[in-house]
Amino acid sequence: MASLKSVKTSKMETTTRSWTAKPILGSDFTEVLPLHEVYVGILKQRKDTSAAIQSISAVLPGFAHLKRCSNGKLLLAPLRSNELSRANGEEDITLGEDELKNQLKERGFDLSLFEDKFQVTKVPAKAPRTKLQAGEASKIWPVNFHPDQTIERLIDGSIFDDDCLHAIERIMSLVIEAARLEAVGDVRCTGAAAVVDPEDGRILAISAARVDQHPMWHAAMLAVDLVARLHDGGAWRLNDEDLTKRRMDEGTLDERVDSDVETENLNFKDRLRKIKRKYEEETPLCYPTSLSSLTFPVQMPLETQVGRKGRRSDGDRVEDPQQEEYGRNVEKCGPYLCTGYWVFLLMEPCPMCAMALLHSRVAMIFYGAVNQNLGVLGSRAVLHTVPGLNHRYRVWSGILERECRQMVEEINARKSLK
Amino acid sequence: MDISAWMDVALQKAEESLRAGEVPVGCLFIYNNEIIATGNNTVNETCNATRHAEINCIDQVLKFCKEKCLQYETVFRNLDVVVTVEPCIMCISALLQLQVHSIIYGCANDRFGGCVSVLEVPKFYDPKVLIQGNVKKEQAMKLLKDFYKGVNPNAPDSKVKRKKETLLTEK
Repeated sequence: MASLKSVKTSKMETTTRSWTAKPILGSDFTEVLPLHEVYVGILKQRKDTSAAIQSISAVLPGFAHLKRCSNGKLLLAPLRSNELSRANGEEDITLGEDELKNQLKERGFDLSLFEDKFQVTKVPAKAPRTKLQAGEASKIWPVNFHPDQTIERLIDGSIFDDDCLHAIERIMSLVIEAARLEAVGDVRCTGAAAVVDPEDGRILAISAARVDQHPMWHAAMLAVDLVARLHDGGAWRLNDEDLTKRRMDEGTLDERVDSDVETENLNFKDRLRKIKRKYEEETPLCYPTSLSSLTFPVQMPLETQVGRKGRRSDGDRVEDPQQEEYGRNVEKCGPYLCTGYWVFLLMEPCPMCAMALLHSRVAMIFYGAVNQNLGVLGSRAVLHTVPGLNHRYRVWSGILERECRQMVEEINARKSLK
Repeated sequence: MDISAWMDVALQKAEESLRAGEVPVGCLFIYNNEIIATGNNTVNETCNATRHAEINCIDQVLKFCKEKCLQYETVFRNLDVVVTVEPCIMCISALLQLQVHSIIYGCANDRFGGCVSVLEVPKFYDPKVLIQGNVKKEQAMKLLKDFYKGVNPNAPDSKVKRKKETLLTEK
């Protein structure tokens, strides 16, 4: 009865926790389904229902997401032949009732089953993706719907177990403290960021926005560069101590420019060893460096079996083999960018930060406060569901929402005081 | 110098980038009719996926301003950006936040383009910045194709294969 028990505890938790993790999904999952007008035939006798359904499905197939017949009414055809052509700005082609009757007659449908006059009614124009949409749609017309369990678990939050939610909350509390201590942002984007390896829960980098020092130093941009530094890269000089060390490294690199393949392999293994040591000894990298004075939560794995399963059955089927492949590649080549990492942000990111995280291939983004001004993970746009981008992350909002919002107000007020 | 001549210079930069094994994107920042920053993509070198040509140029301009004791806000507002490929969503956002004077680009960027191709980022911002695309787009596109035909030495094994596949399907 383990499953029952876990359901029970998670229910208890939702009453004690002040926040709910809200998934940011594409409009396919959140919209009120659009309706379109269709012709329906009224059956003279209910006993003809099944024969009429069979016959109409053969001569005019369609409406796969709807029950073909409801209450003695049979779905025949949409009034407008192609909703898509309308979206493309082409003229409507409206199907006349007589025209439809002729079509049916020509194809051998027995029109005497129906009352003389067809009715026009509105039905959902596309298939529901969630239980909620299906429920709403079936108030209008009965639907064929099979819930996708992963999507439903995303929506009701049961995809994260209790330990995981606690860990998420602890990391977000840290982000809030980081923002309190150092963040200087602007109206477009502000706050602090943490990058975490979900496998062992190690906090790799933590940063706070410092647009007073550099216009691109938003929290996420800094965090990404800190992780790059862990991989022996990085573009910004983020603290002096490391700077001297890096100069020395470059010096030794210069001496081995003409190395043959064998030494190159050695160098490569060297690099991997060095990165591993950095992960163990130097994390979390902090910018500004004063953030290292924060109290960091106890490290614990975030990727529970539940979470992992969730990611695996991502709507994007390509995702799964990619993840496994990536696992193999890490062993062979070392970590690549921020692949697979989870990112925690005080505030919904601006397009620059959101896209920087997408380029960096993070797996999940959690944020607290919405950014109505320029946020593109829910407010102004839903970047990770834009067609054309092969989206690489899932997004959750509302983590310690109230506390995050208060902190955003606090740091904004602080800035205007200066 | 006119736009076309500036774009030739940017294309040369892109070629240099290709030879260095980075994505061939060339970028110039022009201020008072003078190139004050040129850059290329340094993602592999820095292990940082955000180091696109435009971002590198922004850093150069900041350095330039520090050295010349100029206010960077003013310099960016009078600065023209010439880049061989449509800036991605991240880069166009950065440039719009800095309120540059104009952005001229070569070919469209179907994978990440932030002007028109994937997401129309300018609509989120104050629309004062002039944006013009399709300047010498064929040359810019050819360099990209040459790059994806080759091998990106830093990407994990599978990425290389996938990039090739994507390109084939794009054609």
